[in-house]
Amino acid sequence: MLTRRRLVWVAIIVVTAGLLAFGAVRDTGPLTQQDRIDTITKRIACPTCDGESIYVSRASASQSIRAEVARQVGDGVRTDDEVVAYIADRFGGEVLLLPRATGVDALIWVLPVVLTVVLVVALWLAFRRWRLASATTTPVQVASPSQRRRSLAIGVVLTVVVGVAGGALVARQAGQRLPLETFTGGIEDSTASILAQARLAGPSDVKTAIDLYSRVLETDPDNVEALTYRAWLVMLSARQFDEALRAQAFASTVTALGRAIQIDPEYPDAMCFLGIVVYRDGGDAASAKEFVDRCIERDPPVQVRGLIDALATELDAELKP
Amino acid sequence: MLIASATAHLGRAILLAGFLAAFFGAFAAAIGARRNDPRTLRLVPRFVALASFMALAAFAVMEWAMITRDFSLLYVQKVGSSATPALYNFAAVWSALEGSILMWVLVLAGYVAAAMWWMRKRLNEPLVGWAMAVLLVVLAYFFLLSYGPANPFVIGPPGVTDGPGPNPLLQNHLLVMFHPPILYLGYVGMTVPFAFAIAALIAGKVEDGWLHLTRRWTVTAWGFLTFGIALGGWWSYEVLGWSGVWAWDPVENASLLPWITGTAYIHSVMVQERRGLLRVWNVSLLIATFSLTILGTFLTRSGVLNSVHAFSESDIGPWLLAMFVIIVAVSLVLVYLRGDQLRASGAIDNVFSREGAFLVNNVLFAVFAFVVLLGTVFPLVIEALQQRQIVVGEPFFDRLTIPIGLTMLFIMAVAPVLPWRQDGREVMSQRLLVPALVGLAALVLSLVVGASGVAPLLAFALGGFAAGSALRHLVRAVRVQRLRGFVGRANGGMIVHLGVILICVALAASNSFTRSQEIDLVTGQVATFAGHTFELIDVVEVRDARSTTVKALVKVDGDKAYSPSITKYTRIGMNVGTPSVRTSFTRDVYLTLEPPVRQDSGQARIKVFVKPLILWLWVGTFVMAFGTLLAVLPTRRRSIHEIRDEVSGR
Amino acid sequence: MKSAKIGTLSVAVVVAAFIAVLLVSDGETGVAVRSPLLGQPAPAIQTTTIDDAPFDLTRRKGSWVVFNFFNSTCVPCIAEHPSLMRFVENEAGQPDSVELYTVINDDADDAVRNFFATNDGDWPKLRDNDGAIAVAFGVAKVPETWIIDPNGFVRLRILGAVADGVLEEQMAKLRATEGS
Repeated sequence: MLTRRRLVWVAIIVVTAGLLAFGAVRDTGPLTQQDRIDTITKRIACPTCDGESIYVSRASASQSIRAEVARQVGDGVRTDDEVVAYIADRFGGEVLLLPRATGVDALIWVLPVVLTVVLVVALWLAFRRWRLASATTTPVQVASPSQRRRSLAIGVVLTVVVGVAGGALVARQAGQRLPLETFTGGIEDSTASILAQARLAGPSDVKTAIDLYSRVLETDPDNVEALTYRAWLVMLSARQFDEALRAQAFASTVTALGRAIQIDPEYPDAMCFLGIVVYRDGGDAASAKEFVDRCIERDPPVQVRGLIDALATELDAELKP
Repeated sequence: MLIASATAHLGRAILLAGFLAAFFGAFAAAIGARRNDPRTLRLVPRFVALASFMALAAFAVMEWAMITRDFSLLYVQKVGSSATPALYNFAAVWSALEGSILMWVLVLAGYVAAAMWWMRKRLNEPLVGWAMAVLLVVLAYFFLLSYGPANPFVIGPPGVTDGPGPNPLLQNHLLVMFHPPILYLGYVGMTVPFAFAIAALIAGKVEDGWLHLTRRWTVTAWGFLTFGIALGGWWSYEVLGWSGVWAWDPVENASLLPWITGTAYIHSVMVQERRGLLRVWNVSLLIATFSLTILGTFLTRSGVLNSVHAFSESDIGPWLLAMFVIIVAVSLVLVYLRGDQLRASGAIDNVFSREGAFLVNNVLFAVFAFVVLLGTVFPLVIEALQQRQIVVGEPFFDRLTIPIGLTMLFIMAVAPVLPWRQDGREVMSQRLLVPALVGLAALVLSLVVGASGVAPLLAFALGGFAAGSALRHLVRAVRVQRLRGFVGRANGGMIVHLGVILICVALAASNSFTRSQEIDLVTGQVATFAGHTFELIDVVEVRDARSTTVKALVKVDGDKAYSPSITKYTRIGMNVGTPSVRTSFTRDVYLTLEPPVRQDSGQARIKVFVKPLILWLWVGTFVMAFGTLLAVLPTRRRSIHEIRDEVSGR
Repeated sequence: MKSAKIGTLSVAVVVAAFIAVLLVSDGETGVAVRSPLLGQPAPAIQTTTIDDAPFDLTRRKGSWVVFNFFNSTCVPCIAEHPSLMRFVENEAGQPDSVELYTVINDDADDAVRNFFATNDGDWPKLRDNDGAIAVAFGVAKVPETWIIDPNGFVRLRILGAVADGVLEEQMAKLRATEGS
């Protein structure tokens, strides 16, 4: 019956719903970088605390991770999920503050929903029982024990199913879902992994290594490690061939190594290999000595050092008289 | 050396005496209650007095040792220091495990003594006798804990002349003097209603006055617990420097869980008072509340989980777990066997009645408690079952408790206008009209000031709705009874509700609309953010015996200077940041100093948080405390008209 | 009535299960040496030493590299220092000797300089501004020691202080599996 009061109530409810809808989709202005950083840091746990997010914790580990998040947000390359995945890839899954949406962890979402459903159903049943008990008009037909047990079993199963389904929905909506791949990301990461593969292949499978280094150079022509080691491996493999090929290889190797040195004058490996190649394949002891000296100045890594030391003594002997 | 070790021996002797007094007192009370023997029962007050005196003496001896910097004791070596100022040194006693257990003994003994005094003329009643027995058993157990695994009077290695002092976080704000003791007054206070619940089960009845008694005790303890939890939030805000008040830390959750079940009890017991129903449920709530205090203490002290408060892993874990298991086992057996005897006839017939609303309320609180408990222990369970570590933190709790909180606001609005025993739908639509308009007005106001997002807007609207309903009740009460309309359970309760609404609204606003930014300031230049200006005046360094502090003096909006700082505690090597806050009615401007800090460079990096409505959190807390006080004040006998009004929920 | 008994029994079951889980669980499982980085190429690290010389981890390929995350006030770091000194001495005799680097974790240059002046140790100390290196390796607490092979792959992670001889033993194992 449409009394005036009911109309007022309908009006109130409609207006409230409308205002809520308006407020829900309202544009609050652009999301600043700090807002984004805060959102992300609230999802990551501090590794040395218990349960605190890195947004909350003042520990030094938290500050470092916050700084990294700030850096990545500043770069603007990764999405929120990817930044969280980046941190989780290094610190392990235990820094994810929001339990996952799948697997055993999802139980934490499912159980409260199941409990709520169970309690609501129990409450409903209790009210029904009380209402029936107080009804004095028609005597209620009492069900047989087996019928009651069956309806009880069906009720329990239904309740649990509804609860679990509801819980799964909540988990899917609220739980953490991250991109599956580890080490997702830009050019720099895939370059690093190709270089790593090339390095592994290096001593035994020279051809593969050269191919891999070439691939790196396609996307990053100024990569000194690829330039240097490709040139070096080319020279090494050319030594078993004839004069003409060797000379060609020598020329390209020297050019490539020279370019690497130009790009990064402090890179020891390029300098060292240049010294070796110039002497062993070019026969120029004096230039070689110069390169070798400069190479040693730059503190080459041990494997390269091993090659250089032998050469250095040889050169000294050669240049003495 | 002889004198020094005398303190340790004295302390231990006192603890042993206290344990024996409580132990024999418990025996006397139990035997006296069982056999209905007044002579045996007359011994009980004497044992209580002795045990309480011993608790006070033990605490006094510990404080004496701390004040005189008696480094022969291991505990003083751990948390005492010649450089700690007097007040913080006094509070240092409860800054670590052994001292906190000692304080627990003290507070519990105080409560036992108070209960004994209150019931001194009724000791011959079986309910009272059994309750005293339970209280003394618990007290004896805590004395045992303090004498055994958590002994503060252990003699430390000789030759130590100074100590590091308490954790720096516990030395830089006076709140450390208040927060733990008040929290304990709440926490430990729940032991008394628990004792009466167990007594009711053992005696098989709830007589006249049991309800009245337990309700008053519970509300008082609950009041302290509420205030203590709020002080913890204030401490987090003022000291920890992340600008928040609640982090769903396991220790915070441990104090919240008994609060949730305690609140459920306070509401549910009204159904018992009016209709005699839900007795078993209410007794279970009291038992749950106390059990949760023990469980919470176990979780945070045993090192099973780690946090800012959990001081150390110690041998006390198994003892606390054993206590929890014993309490739960005994209680469950008692409820199973004796629950039926408590049951009264009658039923709750209508979901739209006041009783129905309280039942729904119970469900809501049960789910709330379950969510908090599950989130706190879930990492433990996963670690035990799958040997991997996960963390459950704020995002989880927020997502589940926000809907629960919103539903609670709704019920807070609707329940007070519902009548007892009748279907209240018609009445509801009439009485809630004005409150609904208040809610709508609140929604409009919040939209006008720029709020957005479904959850905070709903919180504001429902908050207005609930406030309207509470105010409606108060206005009618004052109209009839004038000033006395503020006093008494129902009216005080409405004021408490108003406090809760203030807190909910403030939380919604500050959680949803905080803005922050890191700003690099240079002296002389003015930076702006969120409508405020910030100017760095100077960066100064202050040294004292225990620390070096670097402060940045920042003028906010051209007004006075605020000084966020970083303090390095030289002995411990720990850096603690201290925020500086400018409070106003609409928002707080919260400043922290970010490392690294270069004092002579004329530069400082600060982080600015602009947090709306924070002040109202503390206002709401005081309103709740005030309302609680009003609720426990006695009312005069009401006239038949007033009683009829109340029954029909008018 | 029945509901009270059902309620009591369900609570009893849940609490019993919880206690059982607690008794099985031993709380903190202690140091975990797992890391998602093991067997992966080491993160690219570019920084400066405490003497302002540049450092680039990718440039050290060809040597075994050991990173020791360190803080001058951390007690286990100070305790393990002699073991590190002995390790360096032992390594000096090896043909493919290890390059040891200290990564400074949340500490001032001067404090580190003072420490090494008093306690010796003349290997390079690397600055870690903003903790970027610590984050790249997932290091939250010091001390931690990481071993990276000459091909740039992360091979070992040790949490906490290294006891005497542990590094020598681990290096021997790694060299053996390194093959040719």
